[in-house]
Amino acid sequence: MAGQTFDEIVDVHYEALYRFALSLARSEADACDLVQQTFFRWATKGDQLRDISKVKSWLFTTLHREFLGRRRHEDKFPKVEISLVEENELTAVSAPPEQQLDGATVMAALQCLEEAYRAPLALFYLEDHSYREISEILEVPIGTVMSRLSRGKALLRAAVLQKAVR
Amino acid sequence: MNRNEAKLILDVSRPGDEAEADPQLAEALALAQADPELGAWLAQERAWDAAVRRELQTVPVPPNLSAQIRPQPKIVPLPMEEKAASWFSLRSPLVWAMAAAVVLFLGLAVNWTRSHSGMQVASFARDMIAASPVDAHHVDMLNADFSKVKGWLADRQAPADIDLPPAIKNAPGLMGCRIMSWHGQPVSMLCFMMPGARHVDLFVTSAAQFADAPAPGQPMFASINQNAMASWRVGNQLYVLAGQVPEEFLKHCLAPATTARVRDGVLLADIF
Repeated sequence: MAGQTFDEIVDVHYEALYRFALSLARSEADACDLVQQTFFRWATKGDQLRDISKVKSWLFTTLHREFLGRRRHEDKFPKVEISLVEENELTAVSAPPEQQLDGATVMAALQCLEEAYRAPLALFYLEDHSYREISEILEVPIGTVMSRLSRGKALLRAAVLQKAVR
Repeated sequence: MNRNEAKLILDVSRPGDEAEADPQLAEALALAQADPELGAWLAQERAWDAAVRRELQTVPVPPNLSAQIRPQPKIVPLPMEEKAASWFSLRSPLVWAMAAAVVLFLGLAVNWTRSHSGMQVASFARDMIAASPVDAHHVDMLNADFSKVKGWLADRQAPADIDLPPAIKNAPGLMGCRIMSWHGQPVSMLCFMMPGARHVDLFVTSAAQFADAPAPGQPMFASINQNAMASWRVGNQLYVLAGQVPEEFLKHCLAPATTARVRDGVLLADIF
């Protein structure tokens, strides 16, 4: 694979993929399963990827598709809706002090969001993907990604603040 | 561009995105520089983003995940009824691929088999390819040690007198095995992840039941697009090697020891 072995690709990407999977699946076991399945796909189908520089996007896209496929069949993740927060309330929320943040709180807040916001936010924050890259990975229009990111960030901030004050 | 439009663009941008020469982002950034309130908002947003990004990177990853992704080097015997290693928990895309292979083999069977009596190799190949991924598990045992795999098969009365072509035998690609059945005859399936991440399965069973088994030393190949299979015979054993790989790859896999391109244990990696 143009200089990168399977093991090297695993080493570079598995942690980021796991955190992305955890944000989507909201369970460690399911996240691990998604990551393993993604790398199995890579092992069996990766040779079809012509542009080796797209490995990262390929892996994230594959993991997201895998998640969507499982969700369709199992529908086992109850959604916690917090989208009823009004836009005005969101703009009035000030950023919590940075010292109030910790990884577990942020991940828990992220997992509370609807999947439509969760996936782009996870890609935005976890792997520092641009909204154009997120659009390609999630296979949704750029405009949709932008609006979901913007709205999702506001929802995430509200959720983090809510959890931080508990 | 008004302030709200600029906010939307700036909100989803990252430090460094300026380098992408996005004219809309450039305009929004210029507006933020000229508008103190917008500039302060942007600084606050980016500080928040940086903090969230930093904290999410601290979420721990299970320490054994990396090892789980890779095939395990030790024997993990599992009951046939249970789901095998999750690494091999195949789901729909591969099943679709194998289903495509089944369709191809249906077509191949017409031209490939000349005899209309007895069991046919193409039917065998078709059934094995279809059956191996459709089940909940792909292999019964994960192990990269060929001698242990053979021992495991022998203990279960499956074909274990397996004579691998040198090119396959010398490549570090064995993943594990599975015992299958075809018309009452046991079949040993060996899974290989060959260099270049090429997944091929080898099915071994008694050749006696086939009217059209290849003659010894005369392997047969069939391929359409990216699906390929090879069948050959050694003694009384029929071998079928199949996978979504180029036919040329299978030919190299079957090359005799004197011409197989094995270098430092790496097979064909320099070819494909």
